[in-house]
Amino acid sequence: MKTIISIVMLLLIMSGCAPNKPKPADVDLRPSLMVRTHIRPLSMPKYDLTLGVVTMRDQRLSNFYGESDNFFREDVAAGLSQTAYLLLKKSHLFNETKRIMVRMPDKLSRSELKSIAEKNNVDVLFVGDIVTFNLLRKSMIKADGLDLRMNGGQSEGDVLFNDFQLSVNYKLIGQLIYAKDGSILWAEKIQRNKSVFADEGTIEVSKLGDITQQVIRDTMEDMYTLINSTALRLK
Amino acid sequence: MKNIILLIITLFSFSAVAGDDFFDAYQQKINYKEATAFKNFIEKRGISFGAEILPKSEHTRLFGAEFDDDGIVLMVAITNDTRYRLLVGGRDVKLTGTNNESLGIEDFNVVMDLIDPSDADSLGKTIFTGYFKILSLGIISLAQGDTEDQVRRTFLRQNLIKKSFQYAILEPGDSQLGIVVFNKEQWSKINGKTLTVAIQNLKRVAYLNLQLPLKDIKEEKSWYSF
Repeated sequence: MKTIISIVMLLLIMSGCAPNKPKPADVDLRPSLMVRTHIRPLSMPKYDLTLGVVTMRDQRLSNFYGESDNFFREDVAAGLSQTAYLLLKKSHLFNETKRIMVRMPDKLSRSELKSIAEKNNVDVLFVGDIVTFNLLRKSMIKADGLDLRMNGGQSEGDVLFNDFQLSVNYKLIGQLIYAKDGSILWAEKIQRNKSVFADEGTIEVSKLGDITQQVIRDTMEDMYTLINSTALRLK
Repeated sequence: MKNIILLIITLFSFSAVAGDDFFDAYQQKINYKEATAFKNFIEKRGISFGAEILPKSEHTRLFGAEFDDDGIVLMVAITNDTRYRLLVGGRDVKLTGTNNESLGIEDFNVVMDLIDPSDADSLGKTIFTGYFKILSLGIISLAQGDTEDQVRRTFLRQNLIKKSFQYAILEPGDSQLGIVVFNKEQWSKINGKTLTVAIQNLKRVAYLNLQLPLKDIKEEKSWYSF
């Protein structure tokens, strides 16, 4: 009998000691994917054209974390598309930028692109593909006991170690397509990630929001720089 | 008697924690091979598309354990020998049949379950390991870390994302390699299997459909046979 009680106690202790995993917060408390990007001074636009930003295609292999994708207020593809639109609008790379609420098919066709552009009075379409948008959570203690923990800071002389690394990864492939003839003015992959160390397995909602928004902001700034410096000009 | 039980517990615990195939596999890379070096490949307008059933030995080397028999694991590659940049898509890889059947790749979470790390340990072994940890390191230590299964699952998840055939821009001269997994039951129902992929040109919107017949595809003994 004593043995059974001991085993039950042991199991209870072990289940109670399980580390917390990130879970979506209550709907009202979820962070937003909307970010405020830099506002650039008004200057001559790179393109004397109108740009249309369509909803990005979700090409991810896995959801944001595990089987969950509802960590944010917005749907991932819709939220990230809106952020791309805001960046391109504020960048002043084009005369005018419009948001087009159309989800492109996996296989683009020149006639369809032309039709969407004509219907919305735009010359160029931004077609984005979300390749990765994940939260990765890594224990810093390897299974064979190797301690990979990072020194997280000092407090009153005590060295604090963090047991988990949580990182948000964002990779997108963007294309700027001149709708009239289907020529591609710009196409690049942009990838950014940001990590934080945590002494428990989970992450505070506000912290998750902060690092996610930082990753999105950095990705968008990279995209601006690349379009501004490498996108082809029309003759 | 108590001493013998404690000794057995300790031995079990050491065997469970010593070394970890899933962590080691995470460090392993897919060895580079152009599509033309595959046993099955086709070439069309300077773009080569190859596929092979991944040998079981490579499952363990690359992922830490063998995939369950419910999945067919293919290593696929596309090599770009054109002068143009291309856009190749991981989820665009499909299996088609002579009767117009079409089978897409397995969902990521299903693929995760095909190589479930919890199969590596019996429940008893996990409990013994936990018990050992409490004895040796204290309850606080256990609370700070994941169980072995959770650690393995984390590495496996990252590893699968990294080594899957991903959506990517393929520069001229470069190759894209990665695995795709199909459901074995549905795979076996398709006659005249052909692996298809649509590739986009990044100069102007245009696609090239590549179709690779998998008539006599079988597991190779080694990934290194040319």
